[in-house]
Amino acid sequence: MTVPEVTFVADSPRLVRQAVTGLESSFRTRRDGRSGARRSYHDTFDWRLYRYGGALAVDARDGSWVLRWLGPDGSLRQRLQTETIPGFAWDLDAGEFRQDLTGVIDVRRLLPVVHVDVRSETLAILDRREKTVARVHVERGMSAPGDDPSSARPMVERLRVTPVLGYDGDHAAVVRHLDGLSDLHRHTGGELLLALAAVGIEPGSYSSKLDVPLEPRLRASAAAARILTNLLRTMRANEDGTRRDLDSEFLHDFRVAVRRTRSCLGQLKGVFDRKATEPFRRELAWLGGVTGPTRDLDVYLLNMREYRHELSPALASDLDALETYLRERQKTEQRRVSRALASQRYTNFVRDWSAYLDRLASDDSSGAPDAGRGVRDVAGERIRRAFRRVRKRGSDLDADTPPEVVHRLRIDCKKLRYLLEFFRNLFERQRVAPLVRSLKRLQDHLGDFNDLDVQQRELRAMAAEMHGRGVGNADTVLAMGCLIGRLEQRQADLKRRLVESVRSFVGKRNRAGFRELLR
Amino acid sequence: MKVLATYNIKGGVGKTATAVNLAHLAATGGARTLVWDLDPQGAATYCFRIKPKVKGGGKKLIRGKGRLERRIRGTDFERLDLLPADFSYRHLDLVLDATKRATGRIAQRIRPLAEDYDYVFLDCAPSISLVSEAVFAAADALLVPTVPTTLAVRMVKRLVKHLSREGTEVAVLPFFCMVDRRKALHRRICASTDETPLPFLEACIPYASVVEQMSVRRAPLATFAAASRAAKAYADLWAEISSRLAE
Repeated sequence: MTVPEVTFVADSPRLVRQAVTGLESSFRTRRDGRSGARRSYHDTFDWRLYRYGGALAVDARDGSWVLRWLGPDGSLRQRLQTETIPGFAWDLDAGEFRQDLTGVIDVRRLLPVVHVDVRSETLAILDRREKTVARVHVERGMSAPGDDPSSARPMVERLRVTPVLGYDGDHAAVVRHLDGLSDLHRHTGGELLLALAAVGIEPGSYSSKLDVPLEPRLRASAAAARILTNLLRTMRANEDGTRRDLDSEFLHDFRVAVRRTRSCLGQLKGVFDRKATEPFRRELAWLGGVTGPTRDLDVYLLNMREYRHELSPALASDLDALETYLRERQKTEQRRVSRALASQRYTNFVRDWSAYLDRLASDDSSGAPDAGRGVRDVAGERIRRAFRRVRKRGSDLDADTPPEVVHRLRIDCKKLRYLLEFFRNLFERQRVAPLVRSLKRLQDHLGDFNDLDVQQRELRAMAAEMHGRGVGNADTVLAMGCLIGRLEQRQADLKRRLVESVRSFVGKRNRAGFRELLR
Repeated sequence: MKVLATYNIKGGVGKTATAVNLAHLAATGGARTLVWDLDPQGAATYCFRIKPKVKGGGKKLIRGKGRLERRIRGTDFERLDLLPADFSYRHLDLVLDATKRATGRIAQRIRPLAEDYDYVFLDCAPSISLVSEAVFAAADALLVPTVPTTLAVRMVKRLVKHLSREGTEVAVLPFFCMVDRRKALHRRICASTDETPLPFLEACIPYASVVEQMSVRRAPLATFAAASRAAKAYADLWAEISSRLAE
């Protein structure tokens, strides 16, 4: 509707004051008073809103909260008043805001990233009728990290020039004037970025994506150390969120890092000293095992909404007993996970694993056969082997293939995928990206197929368990039975599409793609 | 989006003061509000210190396919915008006369604004004309400021009759304005209900020089005389009107 606001920063408050004096002599102005605001910016642990472009500001207003979803230039995208600050998107009332927010943050919880306490003085720019045609806000403030509100630091002082609808030219004139001052610089990224800079937080610094820099001639053991250190960092980053069960994805990212670690150790056998890594493999298996049940239950609970849609409204409410049961079980398993992560056993593992990786990175006298080889050679070898395995098992797949074989194909694909992710940076981006995309599509189908299988078996087991404990009634069991039937039907449909998907993945194009990649 | 038109065939009865003050109250209360100054005299525009000029004039505005948004200007107040008057609006009747489906024209032009505004106030010129017909068709309610005299009340009744004969569906919300408690006639008319079978709103705006100050200060009443009786009366009026509309 109108031009975006423009922010200027200077190296010192004195320079800002000078700029204001300059404005007062070059334009007709009026001091419009001071105001203050306290707000916080929220985002998911993995910075989804930031990556999408923009920020979510939460202001207290008359006993309730005002959420402002801002665009990257500081403009207002959407606004919503709520009684409580949302953790999850589904905490909000149904509407456009919730819908759009869900599209970005999905099942992750919003956490306060930074708290801001701002003082603002407004200078109105006037025309000859003394109408306000633009505004310059002189802003200073303090910012504190979201998880430590007491350690506030001063933010850089800034001038924010806001437009008045229909007076774009006047806004542009003020901006031009300030652009002309050598002591001022334009700042993009809004208040959030200034607040983060003040407390030394780098936005977008966490990502669950694996992106390890590698040089082709790097010693394989040093390369492995880099990859595994990166994965350990991911595990550690997710510890706190997992222990507190802030949302389901902390545990998920933790588990994925554990899985990737185990896969790396398993697929690069000749690179490691088997004896040295054995105790770690055991601990990693323990971590995978103790976190498994909680993850399964998280997935069920996330799927409950979908399940309710599968059934008619009458039957859907009969699932309440199931949901309650699942929540109780989740709490129990989550406690087990929290205890494991708080245990001495875990602390020891992290300490020892860290130390091992440091040694692996700097010196390798293990004598492992592949440790001294160039990583590019080792990677190429393993990837070739993994793709061949997928081709073999995949080309045998048809409508009659039993689920166990499909399951094994899924594992083969996972292994290939992990290898491509570990060694991504050894290859040309446009060569590896389409292969990963194609593999991902296949994996999604395999994953869905597997999920349906697991869900059916689990529902059956749960029904028996609930019956045994006298939880729920005949209606609940019937509803669950109905659900199982639906899932079976979906699985049969999916099988057909799966066969096509596999054929396509192992087809000519990808075969050529892998050949090119590994040349 | 609710469309409210301040309307009265007579001039100088408080249409503009009503439009400006109620719009300001609406915006202060959190609603996104637009005032369209349809009067070529441009009193509302003057009150908001905005230039009474619209690109392309009234003709382009009514007939043009372009969106109204580009001609809207922000007032000094949050959430309150103005579509300014233009002297060419004195020809609006002629423009409408030459347009197909004239009566629906204003409604059609403001409909897309529903995305951006909760309330649109149409400040009308004092007349009964093609423009007025178009306003009646576009509005959800007509706010009719009425000086409490026999003749003025009679005009309101005639207006209601005219609208029902034409089959125009618009709520008529008359209210007493420029009430001088020292005059016996004013007191009598404000108090009596049998002389006015058409229900007038309860809120009454007193005659007050502070209201005339609006065009000197060039600002809504609440910004410089919030504690005055007149300001409080406008606040009561807005409370009454907005709750009526919510029903």
